[in-house]
Amino acid sequence: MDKLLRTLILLFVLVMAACRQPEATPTPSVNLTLDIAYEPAPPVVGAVTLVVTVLDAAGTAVDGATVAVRGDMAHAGMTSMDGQTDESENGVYRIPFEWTMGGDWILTVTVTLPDGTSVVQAFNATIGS
Amino acid sequence: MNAQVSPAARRDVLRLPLLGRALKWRWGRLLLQVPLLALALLLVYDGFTGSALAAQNLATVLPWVHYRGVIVLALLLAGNLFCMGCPFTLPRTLAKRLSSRGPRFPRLLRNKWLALANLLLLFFVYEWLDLWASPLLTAWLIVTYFVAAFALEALFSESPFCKYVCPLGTFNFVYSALSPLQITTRSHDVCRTCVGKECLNGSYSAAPLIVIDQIGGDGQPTATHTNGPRGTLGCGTQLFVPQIKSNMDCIFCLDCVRACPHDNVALAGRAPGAELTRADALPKRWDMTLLLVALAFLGVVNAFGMVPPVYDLLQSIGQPLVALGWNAAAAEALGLLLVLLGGGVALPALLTLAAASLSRALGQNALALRETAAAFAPAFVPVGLGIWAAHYSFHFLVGFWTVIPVFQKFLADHGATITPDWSWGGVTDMALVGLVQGAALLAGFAASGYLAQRTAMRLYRRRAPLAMLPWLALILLLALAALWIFSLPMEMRGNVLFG
Repeated sequence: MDKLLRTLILLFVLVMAACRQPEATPTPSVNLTLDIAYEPAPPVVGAVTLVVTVLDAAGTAVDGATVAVRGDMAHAGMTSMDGQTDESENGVYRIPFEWTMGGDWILTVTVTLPDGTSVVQAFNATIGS
Repeated sequence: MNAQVSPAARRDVLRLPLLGRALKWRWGRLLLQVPLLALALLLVYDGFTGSALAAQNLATVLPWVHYRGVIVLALLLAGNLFCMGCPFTLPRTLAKRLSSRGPRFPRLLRNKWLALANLLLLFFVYEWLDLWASPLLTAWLIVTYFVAAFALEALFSESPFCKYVCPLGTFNFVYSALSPLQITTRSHDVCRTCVGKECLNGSYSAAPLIVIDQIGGDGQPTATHTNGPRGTLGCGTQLFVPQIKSNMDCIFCLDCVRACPHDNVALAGRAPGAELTRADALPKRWDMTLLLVALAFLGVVNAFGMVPPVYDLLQSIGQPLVALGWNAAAAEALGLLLVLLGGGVALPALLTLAAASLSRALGQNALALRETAAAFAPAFVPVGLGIWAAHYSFHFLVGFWTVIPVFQKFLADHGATITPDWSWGGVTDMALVGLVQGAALLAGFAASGYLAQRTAMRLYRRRAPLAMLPWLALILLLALAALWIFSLPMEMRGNVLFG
């Protein structure tokens, strides 16, 4: 092992130390509370209704927004599922969805307000088969 | 030289017009290695910097969905092509040039125990850390591979990483037994008189090489050979071509082909699985025997890790420990270790010993227990590959096209004006996927049964029908266990125990 080898190792360590995954999508200043529930519950493979509740900082229901949901399985290589609605009642948005396989899912919920601002939040779900 | 060319060497891929020349070319291996290196670097880059979602990152989609499917196809259709193009061994040459020629790998470790342990370690880490769900950790795994390959090549004179350490290579070594290609000599006569054994030793001669057996009666060479100013590497895994009887430990680097001054090495076609019918193809050691059998069992255990019963089992192991104050991650680790060691090592070891003992008793043969077990162990290779193929084909088929939107996303993240089309998926007809899985299992089972029967006939003659029963039962048990698992709904859970 000579100087060149040590230099290569040092460079490698520095490069690796500099690598990191990006932070999650920054949430804009709008302060919303999102909650999600499933019908039927507990969730199992098949058709489901995602029930997303949107509240503002004061706890008041937020209507008039567009709520989009993207579902990815935790395992790579599975097709993602999407759902969207802009209909709500008392801040509750009901989105038809389908769990295509049992296991861990990551639901990315995007709420877009009428003024164009949006909030993105991820939820984990374990689906039974 | 008028040495007779062996029948096998008449089906020599290296004699094909274009492909043969490309493979024999000094930099021929790089044609595969450079693209794969670029791909590996891309995976590391995306793993470190891209989306944390496995389904949206090349670092997880390509290795855990596509690589595993392609590797099985490559092994069945050609040979150990991944080891041939392995980017992890690219540091080999660099390490060799940077370091002084070190000692050989410690004698104690020159067997398959370490490789088997590393396979278990990889499976354990894969399940415990949910590598399939983590681009970042997958990227670190790739980096670890590069570092390990480089370090071992720099420290030792041979290529211990490939032969004794690498779990991916070990998988490929075992299942390349079913490949239709193998390195062999064109003529044994040529090797018998060869002095330099360059296929093994390599050639570092800068000057044109004169081979002793090619000196004519007038004292002048009848041919000279040029290896280039920096010479040619010999076999990194210390295989001597005339003695090669199987694909075990052969990384298909073709260094032996390039090093041979007699052009006497062939990459010959053969019947798939031919080596499994030969009594002398593999060493009769416990480490080799357990590797062949355990890898088939690990195929079942690995698939078992994705169906609901395993979660109940892990819960039943882990919850009492948590109740005793154990950390959840530690409890899960212990549960996984028990499942892996129990199903992947202890069970195959005990069942192999039991089958060998029964076989000896029923066959009334004086063959030692070790030799009996070693004789039947190759019969587990087809059923093992059938199980792995059934598992990997599920991911491969279901996620076949998912790489397209993931790559589109990668490009979009780096400035390209492209919108990922996430509708790309794969085969949606689960009946078709099930058919492929069933066919793989059935083919593996049938081939294993045939091999067990053939081995029994060789060892026990008239008592073969009785003596092979324990092995047939074991192979049937494996196939049925796999069939049961694949008939269950597959779930892909991460932290199964405690969220």
